[in-house]
Amino acid sequence: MNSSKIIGAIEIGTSKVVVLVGESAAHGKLRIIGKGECASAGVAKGEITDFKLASECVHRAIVEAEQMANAKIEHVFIAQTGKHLESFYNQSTVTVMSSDNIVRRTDVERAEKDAKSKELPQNRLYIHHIRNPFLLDDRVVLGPVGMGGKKLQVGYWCVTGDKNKIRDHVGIIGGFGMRVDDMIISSLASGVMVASADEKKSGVIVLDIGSGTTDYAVYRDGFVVYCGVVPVGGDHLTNDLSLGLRINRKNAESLKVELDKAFIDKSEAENRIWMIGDKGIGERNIPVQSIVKIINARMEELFNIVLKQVNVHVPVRELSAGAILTGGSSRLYGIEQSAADVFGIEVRRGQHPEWISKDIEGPEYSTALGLFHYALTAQESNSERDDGAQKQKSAGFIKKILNFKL
Amino acid sequence: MLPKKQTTPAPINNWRDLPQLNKNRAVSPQAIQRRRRFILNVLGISFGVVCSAVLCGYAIYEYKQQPDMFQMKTAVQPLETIYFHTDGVLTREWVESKLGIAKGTDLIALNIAELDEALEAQGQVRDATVQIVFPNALRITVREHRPVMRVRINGSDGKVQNWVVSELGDVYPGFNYPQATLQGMPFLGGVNLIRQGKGYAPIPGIVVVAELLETARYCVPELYLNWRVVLLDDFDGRTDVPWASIKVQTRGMGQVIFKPKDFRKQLNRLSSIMDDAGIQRQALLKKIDLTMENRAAVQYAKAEPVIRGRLR
Repeated sequence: MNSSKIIGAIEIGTSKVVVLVGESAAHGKLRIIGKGECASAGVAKGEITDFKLASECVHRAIVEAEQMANAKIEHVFIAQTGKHLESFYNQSTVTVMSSDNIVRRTDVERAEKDAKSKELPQNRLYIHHIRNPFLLDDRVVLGPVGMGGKKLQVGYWCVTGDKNKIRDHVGIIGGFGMRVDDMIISSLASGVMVASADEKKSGVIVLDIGSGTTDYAVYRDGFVVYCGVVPVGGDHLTNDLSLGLRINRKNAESLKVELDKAFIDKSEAENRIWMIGDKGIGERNIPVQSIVKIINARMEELFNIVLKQVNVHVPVRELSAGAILTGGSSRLYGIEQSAADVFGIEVRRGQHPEWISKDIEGPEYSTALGLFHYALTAQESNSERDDGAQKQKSAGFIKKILNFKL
Repeated sequence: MLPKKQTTPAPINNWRDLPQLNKNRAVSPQAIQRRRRFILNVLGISFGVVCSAVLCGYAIYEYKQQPDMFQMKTAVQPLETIYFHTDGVLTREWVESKLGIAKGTDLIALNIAELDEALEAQGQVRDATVQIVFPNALRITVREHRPVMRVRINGSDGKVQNWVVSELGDVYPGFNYPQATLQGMPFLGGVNLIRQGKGYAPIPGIVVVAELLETARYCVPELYLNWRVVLLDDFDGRTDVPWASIKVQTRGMGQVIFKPKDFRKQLNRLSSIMDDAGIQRQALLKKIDLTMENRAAVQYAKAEPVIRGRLR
């Protein structure tokens, strides 16, 4: 009997919608068989602003991907981003019930239920419950069942989102006659693709810099310890260039793309660049240094916001594996230098495994590719993402998708 | 009356609890097209299911009306039944024993032509038809010879056996004839039987003899009862030769000699002679020769033959 499933990974980004279609075969292997892309419309800073426009471009990308794959998507996994996402840490403590102080399954379930059942405001919805390690009499343990102790503690990073905004995302997929199997926040999806298990254990921050938002996730001891979204991305660079150089957005975007730098060497400081390139009426040349200064200033501002938010929970300088940049806007030349200057830690660009097809090896596909990881480990029910367990699964994931092919 | 108790739904606090499929949110052309295609598919499948159901219903109806039509299409099974029809006295058991077939025989392996030949090789069978009735039966229809005389045969074991001769001259053992039928038939004599295979070659001229016997049985049944042996010493089947005659040995009226034609006239003459002779003189009759035109020679045991003329 053929047990393969057709999985769709959908990322509704600010600049474009990406749909990848994968076929999961026996033994958990996955083969990517289709890709559909469409310039986004009706989306700003990762949130739906025009339901009809957004639906049209998402559905167009789905149709394109299905046609390329020559298959119908059966299971949908979507990425979620936007400034409406919030997270908090909730911990519960239970007393071990048995007289011999041996932890039973019921004790664990009680602790987990308490930690996840915090009441939310009416307009908020849980998206993820990310479990941190158990503490048994203040000892860190991964599997407490059968161990001896009196006090069992467990904590969850709970990611929540705005009810209406999440409903819009789900509604776009539902409007195409599909059900969303799971929803994963973009930073976690990107994180599984670019950060290794060792890096997560040592401590690392993954930044997915998109067009409208920057999603980040902080890992330590192999667990997600913090995550967030900053509503600043590549689009802001275009906006800044437009304002700073007094040019329209179209020219600002082409300048950004043409220069594609956040940092320049001294030798390039005196160079100038033509605004349009045809030397026609209205054409003028602009000093490269001015452009880079604007870009660099915005990037520094972005990294400073992230630094400020993360430092509240985890000192960034303690992340010994450094920072990893991914997402479409991480292509800017010298961006890692800007980040390193702000964070004071080693920064590198995220790299996808070599066996990823050329068509989807760019950093802008990290999130969609990461969704496949969650699709393959979807046995975890009720959106419960155990990144502790994920640590052990990561190595297997590489093997699982060795069949990647486009 | 107490007011109806209001129940408040449990608050949704996980995105999974959100309603997902909402047809009113299909706002893009692609979604509308997909929904139309889905509806068409559903309609197509429904139509297919309905058509299949109608066809099945019709098939069941037809089956109930004409079950044979479907039985013919069923797979061939081992032989279960032999339907046997005859216009004579043969039985199904006799046929089965002669053909060597029994229940459970693989029907498809039977050679119908061979079965036909095997049956027609039996002297008693004039012709036979063998048909397969699918899925598991055989229909055998047989037309039998009509016996007209008995004949004594020296069997291979040296014993004398009584066989019968059909109206066409076939000689065969005769199976299942009633004793009364056999005893009512005269014996045949004065012929040389020629071996042919396991039996004998047909005897020529028996058709003519059978006509005589048949005519006698209907015209002069009281005389025919006394006929014992039909001798064909002077008859080889040719009716136009001058010496051709059929001799009949009788009980109580000696030997009667017939010319092989105009049997009705001859039998009428014989009947007159017997009437004229009276009961007392009949016992003295030794020979009545009816071969002469309009005349008959009657020989008594102790007197010279008397020529009588102008007999009816």
